[in-house]
Amino acid sequence: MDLLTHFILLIIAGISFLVLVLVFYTLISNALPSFINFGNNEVTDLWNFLTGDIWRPNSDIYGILPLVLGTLLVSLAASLIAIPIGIGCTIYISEIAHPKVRGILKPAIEILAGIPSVVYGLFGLLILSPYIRDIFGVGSGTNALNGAIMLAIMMIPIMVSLSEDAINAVPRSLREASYALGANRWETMRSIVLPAALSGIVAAIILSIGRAVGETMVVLMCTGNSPQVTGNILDSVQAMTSAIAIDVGEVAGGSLHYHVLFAIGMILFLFTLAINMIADLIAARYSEAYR
Amino acid sequence: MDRKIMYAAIAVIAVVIIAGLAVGLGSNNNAQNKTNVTEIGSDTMLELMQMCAEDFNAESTTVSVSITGGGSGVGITKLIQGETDVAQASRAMTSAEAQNASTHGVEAVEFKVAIDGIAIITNGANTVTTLTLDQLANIYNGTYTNWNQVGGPDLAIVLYGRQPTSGTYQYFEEVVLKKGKTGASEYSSTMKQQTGNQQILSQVEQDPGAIGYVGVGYAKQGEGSVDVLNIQKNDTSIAYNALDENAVLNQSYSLSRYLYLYTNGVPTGAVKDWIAYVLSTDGGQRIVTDAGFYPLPSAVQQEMISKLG
Repeated sequence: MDLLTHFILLIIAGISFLVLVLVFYTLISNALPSFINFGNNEVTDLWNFLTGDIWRPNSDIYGILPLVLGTLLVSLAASLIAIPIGIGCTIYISEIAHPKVRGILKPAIEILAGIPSVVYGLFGLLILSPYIRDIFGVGSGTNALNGAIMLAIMMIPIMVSLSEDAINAVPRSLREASYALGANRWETMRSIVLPAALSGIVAAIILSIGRAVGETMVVLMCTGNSPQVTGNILDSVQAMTSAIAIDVGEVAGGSLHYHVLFAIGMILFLFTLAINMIADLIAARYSEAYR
Repeated sequence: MDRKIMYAAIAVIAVVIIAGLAVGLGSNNNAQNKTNVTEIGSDTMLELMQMCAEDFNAESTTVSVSITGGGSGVGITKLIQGETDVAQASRAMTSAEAQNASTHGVEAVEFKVAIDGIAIITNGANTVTTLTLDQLANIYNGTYTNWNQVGGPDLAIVLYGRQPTSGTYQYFEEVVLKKGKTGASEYSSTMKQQTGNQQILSQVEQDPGAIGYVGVGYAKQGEGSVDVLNIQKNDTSIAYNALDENAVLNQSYSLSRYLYLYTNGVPTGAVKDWIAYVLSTDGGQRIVTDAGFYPLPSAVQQEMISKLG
């Protein structure tokens, strides 16, 4: 019986690994033809693909710089909004809040994580964007800032629940030692708990940035989808995920455009893979500290 | 107790699976009694063709039609590859596609099935009522960025359009931005790409400085909150509106186009029944109006019906 259970669970675990391998294979095998074709295409080549600032698939011009910068601009702005709020929330919930308040706040934040992203997208598109248009006096409220605010709201629950775990994992003995030396609650938190949990908190932040980079529905609905190179947060941008989502449904299978979409998917995959590995490395350092 | 719950759960799951299989097999059997006709292509036409197919399938005892989107180009490619019986397209076949068809031994037969006017819409608050094609091109290629450059209020222009795989995007690029012709320009990269007509309509309803292009059916839905602009071919010509049925039908409105169905060879049997239904006055041509497009003028309709033999 034990052996059977072991075997079944092994297969189940194996399937998830197999799925990863298959996804990666699909990406590579579909992206490769685009890299091969780049060499034969007069309009574009690999260098133009990576650094070209014009994304115009209908004329076979595939510079993904506007898309990469779009993703980075929205994610960076979202992080700048989400990090202070997320860390503040975590500190308040884990160290300051009365247990009754915590009993309400914590589930509330966890529910935020369970709301489907399309609902956030609708909220940004229909409710938030008119305010952004009127407050900042721009032509349209569907822009990078709109997407960034909605992404930040999606990042906060991940950040809070992961960094709260990190803070809770700081051994009780450390806090007690600090109190014994006469430090108050604020001093203990600032000088003992936060530094001890720092790598866990940083890992939480990085993982939530990974979420922002890979998010599709919200950026698709909120940022306006203009594939332009811009650093202005009030301009409309198109993210890599949006370009894939918008075009893949109607693109002719096997065309250069089709393969380029997979190439973008691969670059996106490398982005999030790198982000997750950095988070893992930092978290690994942290888990060794108090063993 | 736990075990009982588990058995109950297994029983429920088993019942659901068996019921599902039974329903699935049942519907399969029904479908097998009818000859299946497949049609793939334009998304602009998707809703129209689905409405036609629904009525046709309910009436016909021998044929069942299924419609898929994917874009005009996809439909024509599939027709050439022999993967669909009919292709729907919101633009005529290109010469490259026609050549590709003949090398594959496919004789593409074209049927005009409806007329569509691309309406240029602005927010109801905007005072601009008329644009020339040149002005429209300069707005969409980013030369003009403020409405006061075309005689309107001091208000930044916000561009809305479709995504590059859309037939409407390509049509607008050819007719307004003159792609591949002298004086061609490109879409401004600030244009906000929307995935459907409905999205463009609701954004133009929201933003005071917005301009967008949609099928005339959608423009009618937005009447009251969006304005449909009059379009002039040039400074001196008469301005026409997409809501003016006659102007669209006789193509004096610059942005009117036919919607097409393509078959491989002159259709026979089930495919012929389907095309005949789409062209019929009481069938497809009535639904065309319901879907927001314009029906064929009767001369063109007769010409198309005679093509069926």
